[in-house]
Amino acid sequence: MSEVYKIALRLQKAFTPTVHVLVAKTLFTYMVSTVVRERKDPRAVNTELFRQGIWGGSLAMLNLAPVGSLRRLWKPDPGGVARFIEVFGSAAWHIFAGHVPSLRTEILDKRGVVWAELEEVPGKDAFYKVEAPEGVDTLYFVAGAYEGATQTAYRLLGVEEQWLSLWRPLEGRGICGFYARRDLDLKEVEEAVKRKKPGFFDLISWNDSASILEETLGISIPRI
Amino acid sequence: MTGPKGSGKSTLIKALFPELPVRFTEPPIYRIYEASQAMRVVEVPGRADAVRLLLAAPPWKVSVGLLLVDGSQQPRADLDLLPLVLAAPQRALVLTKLDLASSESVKLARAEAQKIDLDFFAVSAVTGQGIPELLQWITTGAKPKPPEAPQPKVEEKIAPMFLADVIPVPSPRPPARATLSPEEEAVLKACDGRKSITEIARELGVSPAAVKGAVDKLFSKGFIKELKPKVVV
Repeated sequence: MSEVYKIALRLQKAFTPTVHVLVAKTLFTYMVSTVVRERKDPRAVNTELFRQGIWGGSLAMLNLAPVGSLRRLWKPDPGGVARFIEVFGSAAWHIFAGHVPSLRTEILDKRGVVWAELEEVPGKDAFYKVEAPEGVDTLYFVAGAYEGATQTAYRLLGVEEQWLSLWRPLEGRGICGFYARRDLDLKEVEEAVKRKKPGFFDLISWNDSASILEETLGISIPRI
Repeated sequence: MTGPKGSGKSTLIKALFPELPVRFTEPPIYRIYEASQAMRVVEVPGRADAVRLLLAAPPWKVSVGLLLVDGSQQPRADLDLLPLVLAAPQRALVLTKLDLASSESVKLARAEAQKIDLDFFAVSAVTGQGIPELLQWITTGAKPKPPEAPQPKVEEKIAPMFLADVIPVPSPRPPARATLSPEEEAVLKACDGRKSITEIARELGVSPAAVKGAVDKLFSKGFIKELKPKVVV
């Protein structure tokens, strides 16, 4: 099934308006420069890029993903969730970065915790690949976009209060994140994620994500 | 305990009674937790129909009533929920998310509590501020002392940076039948294809995040066609 969607995506991209990556990079550079000037400290810059990403990802989900397709694909069992991430995770990367990424999913807990890693294809250009000051990681914007997009997808699917999803950069080569059922012990979920990727919550904690989602999208996820 | 969706009911229950297996989803009509042999915590969703139903056929005797308001938003008490809280001899208005609240919000909520004759507490489940005082009041009925009420964290807040504003464009052919919440109806009425989310929020006196939430739901129901980016000067 995923293969069919991938072909459909390629066709969609071939027949819909597109833009040279240089345009996107120039605009993104302008945005990052503004944030750096405003915030200065690289950690604060990364947090602000993440926040901007959450907003942008939510708008992208609303404008680009047909609600009917989301509903058809959403199956709330771990295997179904993994397939959902594979299709929409790849689709988003394909639309915004211009190529199909390498994507791995893993079920961390059969009751409903699915881990995902998206890695860029080496040598391919993308809007976020701009020179930034030391310590500034533009993938925070991308991770925020995935977090905002996924939470918005939950809202469109009517499962906003049953699932949550958090995303962070993956050591400069992509992003990683997880989907989890909210009725699980969230401390346990956090521990499972930390075992998978120890630095996941280092800069932006679980509760930081909750604050940013609430302040930008009005989405309330449980704090721990 | 009742309050609007997202006001932090489940989080507050967990902060007050950490041993309880709290579920973080909105209960259908109500959800009961056994805090001890003598105490049950009942979580009631912030919906007038749930309150009406419970008042018509109360399945328990309410001894303590808590009405929650979200300190990170406009701290207005939902008057539709008030009758349930007033049915209790001991009742209070609780401002949640104190760590995100401005001192102005705390002042407004305190005045609101005074107006509707409720005791007042400001709490943060994240920092634990105000939680012991509220717990003591619930268990002993000891009146809160206004001067000792916790104050919001004195911390220099960094001004949030601008987010790209967008105009929700209503669909020319909205669905003939759909159920909309009062918030969604208000936002849809304000959508004229020219006003942005921030401008609608200002007009309705709510946060842009609240408008965004309603817009998302209107979008999924087919009332909003697209979101147009807008340059705001």
